[in-house]
Amino acid sequence: MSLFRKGAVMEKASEGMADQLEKALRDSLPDDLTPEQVAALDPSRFEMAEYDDTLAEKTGYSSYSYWRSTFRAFWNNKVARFLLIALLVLIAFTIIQPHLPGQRPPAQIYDFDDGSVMRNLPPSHDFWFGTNAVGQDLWARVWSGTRTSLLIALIVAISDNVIGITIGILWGYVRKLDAFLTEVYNIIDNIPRTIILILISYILRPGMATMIISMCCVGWLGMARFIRNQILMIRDRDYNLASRCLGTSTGKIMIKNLLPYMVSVIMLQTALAIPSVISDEVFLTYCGLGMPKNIASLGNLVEEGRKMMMTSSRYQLIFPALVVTFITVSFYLIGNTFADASDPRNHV
Amino acid sequence: MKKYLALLLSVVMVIGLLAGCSGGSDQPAGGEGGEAAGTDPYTGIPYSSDTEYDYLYSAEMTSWNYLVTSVSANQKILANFVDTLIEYDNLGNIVPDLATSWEESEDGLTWTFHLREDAMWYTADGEEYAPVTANDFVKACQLVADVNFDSDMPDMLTSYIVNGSELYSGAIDDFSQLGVVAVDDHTLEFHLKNPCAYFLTLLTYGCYLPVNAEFYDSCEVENPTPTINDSGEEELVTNEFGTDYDKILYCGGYLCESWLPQEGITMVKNDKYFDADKIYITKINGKYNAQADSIAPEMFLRGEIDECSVTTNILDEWLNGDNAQYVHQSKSLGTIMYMLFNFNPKIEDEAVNNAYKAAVNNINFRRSIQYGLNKEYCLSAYDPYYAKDRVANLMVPSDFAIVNGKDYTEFGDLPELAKGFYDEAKAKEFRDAAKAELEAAGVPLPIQIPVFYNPSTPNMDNSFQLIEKQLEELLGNDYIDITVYAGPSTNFIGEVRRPGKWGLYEQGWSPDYADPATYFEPFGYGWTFGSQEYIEGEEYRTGYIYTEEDFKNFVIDDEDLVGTEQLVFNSLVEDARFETDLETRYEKFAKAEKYALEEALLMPYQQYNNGYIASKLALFEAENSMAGICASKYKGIHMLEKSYSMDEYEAAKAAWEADKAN
Amino acid sequence: MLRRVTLFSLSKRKKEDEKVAKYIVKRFGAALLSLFIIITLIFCLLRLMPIEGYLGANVDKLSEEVIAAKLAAKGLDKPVPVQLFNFYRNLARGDLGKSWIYRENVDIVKIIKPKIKISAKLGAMAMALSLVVGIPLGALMARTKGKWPDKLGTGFIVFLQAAPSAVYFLFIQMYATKGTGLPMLYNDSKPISWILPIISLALPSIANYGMWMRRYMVDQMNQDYVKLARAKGVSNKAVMMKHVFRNAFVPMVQTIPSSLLFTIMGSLYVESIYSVPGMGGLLIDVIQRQDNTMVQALVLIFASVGIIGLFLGDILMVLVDPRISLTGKGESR
Repeated sequence: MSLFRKGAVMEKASEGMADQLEKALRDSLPDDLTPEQVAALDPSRFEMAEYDDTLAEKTGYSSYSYWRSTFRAFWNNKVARFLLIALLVLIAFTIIQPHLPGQRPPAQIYDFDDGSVMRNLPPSHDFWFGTNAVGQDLWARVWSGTRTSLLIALIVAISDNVIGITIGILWGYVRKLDAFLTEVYNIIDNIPRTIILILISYILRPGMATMIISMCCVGWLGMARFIRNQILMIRDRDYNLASRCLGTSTGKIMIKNLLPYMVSVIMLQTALAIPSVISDEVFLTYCGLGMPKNIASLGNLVEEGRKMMMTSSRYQLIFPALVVTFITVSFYLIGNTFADASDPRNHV
Repeated sequence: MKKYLALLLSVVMVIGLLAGCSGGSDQPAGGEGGEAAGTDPYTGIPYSSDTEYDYLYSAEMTSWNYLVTSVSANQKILANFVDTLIEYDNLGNIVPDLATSWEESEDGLTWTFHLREDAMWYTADGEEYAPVTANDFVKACQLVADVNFDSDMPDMLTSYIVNGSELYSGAIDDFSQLGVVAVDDHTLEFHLKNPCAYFLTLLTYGCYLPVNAEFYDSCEVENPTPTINDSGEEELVTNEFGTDYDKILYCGGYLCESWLPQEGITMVKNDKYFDADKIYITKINGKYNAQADSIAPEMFLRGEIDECSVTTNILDEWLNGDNAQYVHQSKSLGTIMYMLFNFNPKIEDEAVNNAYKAAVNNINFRRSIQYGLNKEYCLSAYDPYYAKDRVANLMVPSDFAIVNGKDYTEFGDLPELAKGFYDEAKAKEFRDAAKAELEAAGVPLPIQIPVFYNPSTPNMDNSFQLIEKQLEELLGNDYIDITVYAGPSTNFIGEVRRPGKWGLYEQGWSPDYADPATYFEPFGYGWTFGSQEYIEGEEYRTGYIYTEEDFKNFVIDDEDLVGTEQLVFNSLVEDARFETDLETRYEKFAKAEKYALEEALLMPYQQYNNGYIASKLALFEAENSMAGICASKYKGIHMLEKSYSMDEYEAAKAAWEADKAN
Repeated sequence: MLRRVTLFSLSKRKKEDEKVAKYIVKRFGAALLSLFIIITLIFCLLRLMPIEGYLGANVDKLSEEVIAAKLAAKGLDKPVPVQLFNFYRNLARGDLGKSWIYRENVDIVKIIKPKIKISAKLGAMAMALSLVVGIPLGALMARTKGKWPDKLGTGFIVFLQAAPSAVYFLFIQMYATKGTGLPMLYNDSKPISWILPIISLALPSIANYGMWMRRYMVDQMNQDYVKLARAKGVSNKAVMMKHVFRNAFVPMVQTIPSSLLFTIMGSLYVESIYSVPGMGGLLIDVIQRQDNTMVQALVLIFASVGIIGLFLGDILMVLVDPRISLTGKGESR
């Protein structure tokens, strides 16, 4: 295992932390105050406080709640707040869309009365996003594709987490496994990610299951490495030792002391997994190793639309590309913001 | 095979197909030395003064060894470098090329060719190397018959020439016993195992091209370190013949000036070529681009290239806009796609499999699909505007095999069958009959029909979706349930067709020689689509021709036999195959075809073409042949001022057909 | 006293050097083992594929007898371990074998060499461009953190990472060549045609470098030594250039060798739309044609490149960053 490479994820998290720290620093220590600002300062703040017994007793307890602070910190970021709401609306819409009235099934082919297929109709009142080259409703296909891709992304993100955390904990705690897992990690990590994706997709038959499997094969690595490093690092920190000395159970240490440190990264990892899964899907589809074309997915839609880019049918590219971009950008920004917010060091 | 199809069908290299022609006698003589004057005889479009032809291609050459490769991208290029014994004119008549005359012996077993004396081998630089002699053909045939030479198409030679198969299998190892003999430098003899009426047309196939023995041997290099081949033996020498453009000799109209894999190829006219006055395009620049489909149209419009294919995606834009003046259909290829039933299904779910098996052995079921399939509608996925031109109703295309001026498709009842079966009312009748019979037999309905499309064949997915919709809507979801699956884009045949997991399968076949027999090969003994295991047994190959009566009388009562009609069909084919009188032969094939179609054993589906193109080549000047490599020659072809529009194409086609009829 | 200190530190350095050497040897051994496992795995998996790929394009038109004869002639009727053994014997002689399908009967080394050259050439130029643009961009963003250059840059970076690259590359190709006289396709002998491929290749890395540079710099800006420097009255600019930038650049150094080496893999998207005859997409191409010898060779090369890249990156880090001590980190594992 590479000794010096910090986990990519850690570094992403640390940026957030640094941001917060710097902000705090700036707020508390303004570099140079203008005379007006000096004049505006409340003189009472510079008077000596009198000793008060009751106030002295108040120290030592705060009503700190980890999750509340996390959400408050997150909520303070306007862009992230907006994106989160928009994303939730989008996800909710993709889920309920097929149950709304007047929606068309994504695989249905529409014909004109004379028996010819309604191909490449531009967006209209009837077909909001137009139709594709086989006369299917693009509106329905975009949402169905979003559903498929999000589903894949979710499955991959969850299994990345499950596999990654399990292996990471084993790796960190069971010393006998360390050498072996390090070797496995090296083997997989040494091959470029795209090559693994391609090889697995090729050897297994292309399809949803293959895609999920191949992405899971590469996705857990980062998570496992991070968890292992965290466990090694945090386990022996002074406050944990102190906790242990005071008789706190291992489980409680894990949940109260270790987990908050990791939640930020787990969240970040999950949030970043989703856009990366979607872009991997687009990539695999481009290589011809994607999902069957009759299943709408964002990868398939973008790939189909790409061929139309230079024609007036380029709406077939624009709609799915917009959805991909939106999902990716929002997950990326939300993930980063949440990672910052969930880092207890930022709750000061 | 998948690759063969993929390359043959999907790839953008339309270019090669529209190539050269021998310039029939009615051609106006083009200006000398490429100074093009005159006009296209079919449309009156003036020839371009530009004689350099640029194009974009997405399938790179994989080999220069023309004796080995069967990849169409290679053959299209190589056809211009090495000439064949005979070739075709633009109307499809056989004309002399390297051989000036030939005769067939009385018994039909010996063919003698007299070679021209002015044909020379040139190196890639254009230097004369040696004259082309009969020995060059002998050498080439001996190489192809050697299993270690690893030719893609040994069958084309070994199954016709005396001792071919024996040499290939290693039963004898003296290659001088091969039935190809150089009587003298310019007289060549082929000794055949059986009389073969279409032997001449075989000679335009890659494995019958000549090779200079001296040059071939000079390509041998010693390995710096002996490598171990896959058999574990040490190899001391390697022959590099055909690994690069300077590792072959040229005797055709063009020389290869340069070739950089994945970058481009430049071909120049060989001025010393014996037929040089028929070479009008002086230089051909191919540029490689993996995304040629998306990029070539834009480059064509910018005038950077002279040809592009117009894919279905952008077709609307082109046909209905300003670009309509350039875009037209491409010529039909010999490739016929068949929609096959699976007589030996191995669908994973056993209940589904049994139901399908019962259904497919019911003639009414097959007919309901045969009569119900609206080919024109389903093919609109390939060609939304002229889908009709793609529909194939017969197993053999018209304009392919002609005897004494009569096209094969005019024999027997074929003209009637050519009208196709599509008839919704009848389809429903057959459906009702099949339903009743199947229900009586306790077969659960609907019948599940899994179909697979090949993702690397453009538009096939869409076409299958249309089939699903059209058939299910016509015949009802309670009768059939078609499910479209994506096959793997690689190894499609190995993963889908051979394992037999399908209910309907679209399979293509391209002709190897100009005789109807070539289209019956995949359905006859020893070959097969869809029923391999069942006809492999030797006992059915005894030469006895089973009749329908035999089956009714249980002469064959193997319970596992499915689709017994197939055996009748096969016997009819065998009967026709050994007929040497051409008219009777065609008559017999027509009978077999009629049987296959009427029993709904298979459904011809579409005749392939390369879709729509914009091309400045005068494509009706190209050598006209559906089999062999000659149609890829640029010989005899002019470049036009502008690409045909669809109207001009149709006019040219009509004029060309009239020309041909004379 | 001074002398003693020097001696002490020298012996410490020697000890450190030994550690480094030992570490390198160990890493190297592990890398070889990984390579062996990867290759063996790929080799066996490829043998499980259907036979079509071994028989060329015409397989459907071959008779059973011919197929059997061909398989035997290629040694494919032998058990896999024997085939594997032969493969390693050839590999030991530096012979990657011959391509079967991609370019029939041509030495793989001969096929790959010119391609690697082209990919590496374009890739290196693109990398230089992305470093020249990306690093200052990141630095600028860090300096103007929270203000509009930072926001603009972030937007640019996020967009480049989020939008499907297959789409915007094509977009660049189509619209940047309209009226500008830039050719649409790459031509080795015309450097003007290199411009667009290089820009396209560089764009994602610009985003990448910019993002990391900004992150590392912001990280450094919060360090105590920066506060100290500022408290001492060092000008903002000097702090940035002398301290923050330099320190932030150290972690970037680590990735440079592997990025540079990976340029030989080429870019699938860019190379395919601009007709660059490089390595991009070669693996996919040969996989799809089932050219097994090529697949083996390429996986071997790419895996080696990956391993060497990591390895060099780590070594470089040890050399560049005096704070890194193998002893210290090693114990914390």
